[in-house]
Amino acid sequence: MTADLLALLRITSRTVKNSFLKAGRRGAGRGAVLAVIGALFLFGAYRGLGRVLAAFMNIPGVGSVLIEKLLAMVFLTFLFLLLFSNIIIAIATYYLSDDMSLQLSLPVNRRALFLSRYAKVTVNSSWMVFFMGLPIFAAYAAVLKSGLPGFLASFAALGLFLLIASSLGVTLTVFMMKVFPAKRIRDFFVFLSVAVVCALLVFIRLLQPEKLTNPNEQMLFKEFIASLQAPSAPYLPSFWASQAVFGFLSGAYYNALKYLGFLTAAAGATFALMLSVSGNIFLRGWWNSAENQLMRYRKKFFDRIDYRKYLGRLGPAVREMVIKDVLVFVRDSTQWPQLMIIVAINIIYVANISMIDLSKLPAGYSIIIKDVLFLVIMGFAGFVIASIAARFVFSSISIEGRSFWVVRMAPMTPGEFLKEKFWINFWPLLALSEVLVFLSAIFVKIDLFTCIISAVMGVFFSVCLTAMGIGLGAIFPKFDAANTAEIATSYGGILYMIFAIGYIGISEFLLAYPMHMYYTRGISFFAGTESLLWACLAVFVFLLVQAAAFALPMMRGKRALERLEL
Amino acid sequence: MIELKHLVKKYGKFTAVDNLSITVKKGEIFGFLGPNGAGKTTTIKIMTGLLKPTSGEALIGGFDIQKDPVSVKKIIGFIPDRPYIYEKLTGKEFLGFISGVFRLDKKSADKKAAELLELFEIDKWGDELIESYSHGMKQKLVMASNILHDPAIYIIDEPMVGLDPKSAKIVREMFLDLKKAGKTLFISTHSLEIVESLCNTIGIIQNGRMIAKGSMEELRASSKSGSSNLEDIFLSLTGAPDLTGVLNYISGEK
Repeated sequence: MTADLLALLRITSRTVKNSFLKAGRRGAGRGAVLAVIGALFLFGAYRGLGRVLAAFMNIPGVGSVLIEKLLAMVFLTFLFLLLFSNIIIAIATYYLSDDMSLQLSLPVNRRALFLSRYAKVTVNSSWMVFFMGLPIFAAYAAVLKSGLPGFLASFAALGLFLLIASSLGVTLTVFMMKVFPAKRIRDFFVFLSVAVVCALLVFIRLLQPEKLTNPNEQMLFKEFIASLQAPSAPYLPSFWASQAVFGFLSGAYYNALKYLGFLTAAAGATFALMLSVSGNIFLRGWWNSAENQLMRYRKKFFDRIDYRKYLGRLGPAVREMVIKDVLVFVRDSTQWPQLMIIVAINIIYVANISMIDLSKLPAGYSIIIKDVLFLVIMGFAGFVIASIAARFVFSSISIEGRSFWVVRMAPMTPGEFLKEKFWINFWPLLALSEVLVFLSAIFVKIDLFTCIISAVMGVFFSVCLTAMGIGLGAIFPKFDAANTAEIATSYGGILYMIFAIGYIGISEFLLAYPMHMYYTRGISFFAGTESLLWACLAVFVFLLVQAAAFALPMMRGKRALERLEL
Repeated sequence: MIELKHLVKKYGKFTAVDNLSITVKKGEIFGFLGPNGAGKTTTIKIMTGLLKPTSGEALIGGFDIQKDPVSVKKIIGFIPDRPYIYEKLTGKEFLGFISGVFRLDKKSADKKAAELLELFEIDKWGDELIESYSHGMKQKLVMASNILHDPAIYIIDEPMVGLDPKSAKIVREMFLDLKKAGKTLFISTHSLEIVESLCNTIGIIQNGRMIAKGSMEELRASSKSGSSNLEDIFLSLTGAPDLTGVLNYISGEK
């Protein structure tokens, strides 16, 4: 079995090596850009977290407890993220991969075949979390004054934690693909989507963020400390990992080794559980998914809609492109978990916003708080829109996949094609952003003027983030991606998020002064002073930025499509 | 109708197409032959605008594919060697999509689409998702989608791959009908039988260069092998493989 496993792993390593070699100088350049951005991000995260931890540590009596609790929250977040990404990647790696048929037909050990894919799933779903460990553990090590051995030992705990998550994710995937009959494979995705929402609700309850920042006034200090010290989820591996890491970094080695023992046992148990489903159970599930491809198609709700009736005003070419995009989207069940991510992100957004109550703000701070709140809400809304756009708008060009030649052969210009992609993505994004603004206005009870400005900003954000997604999607297409998640985390996807966050930051910065003027003087600031000139200048530059954020990516994207070779 | 002038396509130091010039007149069927990796698909991709030439130009129906791609795409139909099409659409929906992007009258296009599905014997699969189609069925659907918008020029890469004998016969008949209707066909294929029986002009390409061009008679006349058979002419020009080693290997002799 070992020889087979090594042979299969060698195929993967050679594939990776060959793609690097093929990428040549351009690939090396991209790699260097990503490495620099990644290093800057990690350093920024280290410095930012370091400051937060140091501030917490300065609170007498509770500092250490607070940062321990924060670490438990981080690991709990990681656990949910990892389970979700492991399931998505396991489906693609075990059931949708092109070379699976070939490998199954070879006289290789089945378990070796299964494990080689397990290694792939683990690496692909865990690398980001592994790298995030660097700034987090380094910040904790700096605050807790731990040495290098403690820092390195923390990675042992993280490694075991990652293995547990991937074993659980793969086991769950294999089991579900076996349980659901072939023609009901879509039900699995529905199940998965519902599970994500439920997990999210449980997750929010487990986190209990209000405990960190909002101790009940009636609660005695001692009780507050006790409530913090009570573990939120003591039976989850995330808690054991956080305890092991915190133990290593704070010098509580007995506790660290105890939880490392828990993690080792759990990693062994989950790995053994996964091996037990790697034989016939996996094979039956694979047959199920293969048979699903041959099943007769049953018309669904979306097939009965007469799209042409509703899209009559559009030209025939654009109309057919829109109908094609809609049908492909609703029939691609791998998109459903992505849709659930939207729901999840929005639940988190609304849950956070609903905790803010302006009526309880201390008097005298209201202008500062309103200033900050406007920026926070719009920043948060912008970030939510950008995250969703990265998954759907940016990927909308790449999702054409290997069928893109059909579009290229159609008598339409790249400009017309991009225009269609823009409009089909713009309207849902606009609706979403306005809903977010509306919810913010209701929960936070912001005034009418701020509400109008927020709604207008929502329009600008939707226009520009859509244009940036379409443009960068055309400049960095990834037609060979196995799933949309892979497109969103590609080089172009990461660049999109960086540009999007930069754009949101600049837009907010430019509107901060006019909004501050409004909060200090009310509508009367329009009466005309020197500061009005500055406010107008800021608004003018804001509009210039919006125009550039729309036009530049669309123009560059069009040029990139004209030059694109297939 | 088709005029390729000194086409060159380089990938780094490798030259895939080397100073290639071809002229195909209206109503002609041009057979494009060559061993694997000779540059046939690259040439076709340049003609259809999927690749850009390093130098030279490709005029299709009088339009330069680089300068006026939309005008070219209005008059050509392209059948690629690998029929990747939208897997989540049904066959009928795909044809509906094509009729829309080519701005055809919906009513008559729907009628013609139904006839074409029947002609290619995939009418029973018209409401099924393309992901459940075999390679041959997808190939036939792509052919149907091209005939649907009735182009003046067909550019076809390996039309017979994945087709069963009956479908292959239908396709051959279809090519003849298109020729009779005055359409121009540029066919890249390994099927020497198709080329011999259908094509007015044959071009043989090797290492990106045209090594022979002319009618079947002209090729026979210029052939050093003296054979009248296209296979022999092709092998004498491109080099016949020495199969002794392969046969010995299979039979276990050294």
